[in-house]
Amino acid sequence: MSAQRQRERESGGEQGRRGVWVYGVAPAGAALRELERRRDRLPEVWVVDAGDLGAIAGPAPSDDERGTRDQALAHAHVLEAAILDAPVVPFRFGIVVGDAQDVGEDLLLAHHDELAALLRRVESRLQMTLKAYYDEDALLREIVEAEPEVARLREQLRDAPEEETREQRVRLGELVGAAVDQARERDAAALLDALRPVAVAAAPDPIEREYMVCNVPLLVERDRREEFEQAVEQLAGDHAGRIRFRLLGPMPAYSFIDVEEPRWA
Amino acid sequence: MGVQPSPGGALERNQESSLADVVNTILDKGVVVDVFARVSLVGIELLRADVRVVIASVDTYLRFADAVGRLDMGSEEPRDLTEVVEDVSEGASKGKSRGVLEAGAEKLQDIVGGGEREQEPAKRSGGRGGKR
Repeated sequence: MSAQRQRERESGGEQGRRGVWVYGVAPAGAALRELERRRDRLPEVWVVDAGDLGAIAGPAPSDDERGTRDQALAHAHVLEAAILDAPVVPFRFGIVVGDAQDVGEDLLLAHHDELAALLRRVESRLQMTLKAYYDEDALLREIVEAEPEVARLREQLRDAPEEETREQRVRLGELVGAAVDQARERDAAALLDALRPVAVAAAPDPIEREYMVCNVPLLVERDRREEFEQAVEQLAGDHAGRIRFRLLGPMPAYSFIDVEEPRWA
Repeated sequence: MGVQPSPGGALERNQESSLADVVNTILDKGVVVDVFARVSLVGIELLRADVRVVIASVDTYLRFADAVGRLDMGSEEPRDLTEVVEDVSEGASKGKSRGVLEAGAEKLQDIVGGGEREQEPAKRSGGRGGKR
């Protein structure tokens, strides 16, 4: 939809005052079929084209609604639908522009070269985020079996009163904690190595909880997505019972958008 | 929400991000075109994922000791993986302008706090000791 048409739609409405929420930027005229198919469960979204770029945008929620859970999910879900059909440069959550004309002129035209370059960079690529978690008991059992000192302390503390054994318990915990860290380092490296052949780059994020192996956004070539997913399936099979996996995506390359030449470290 | 269990059950597919995923991995990423008059970052105080992770402390050690003490070494019964939920707790702000951000902060706490509609409820845990 043209900026002009957009302006007409908006004229005089309350939306004009609230501004326009920008989700991201795609090539002008991109056929965003999945976005269309999911329209019932997504907020109202328009594409504002200017030149060869199109902004995926929509009415900004009122001030009270901007930071809500619904808006956070909407932002992610709109982009996740759009990326299925076109390259998308994701905008950070919370960017609001005055009106549709501003989207075309102040955003797309004024920042054309910058945005076009970013778009080229992610053109053929998607982000898939892999989260791997230990089965807590499986890992701890492994550690008890591998570390005689852990096993010994554990036995010793078994029926001892808590108040009198604090020092030994701290010692036991230190040993277990160190062993968990070692396992994580080893396993995370092995998992990433296994995915190296099927991904362009990895940008590991900090783990989110204690028994997490890794939390890794991976940049994947669109036409190798199936291959990548098969590799993850393979990992899940290989590590069944010990490590559980969640694979998120496809999503826009949120974690790689700032990177000039994404690659493996 | 597309969740497709793999044959082995060890891989969960999420084609749409849950609230916890959004908060943890997406909200502070993405392009910010350099500021010009009419673009404004809406006031949101971002909550970072789980700050309780692996901070070496006596509490952490005691928790590990406790976990390993409770282990039943005889049984190989695998735990039900659906028990695993996202823990999201508040963390550092990545916001730009603090003044505007105050209201948004509460708002996001609300949204993270009330995660019951997610497939993986975003629980608020009071501190590092929070256990599923």
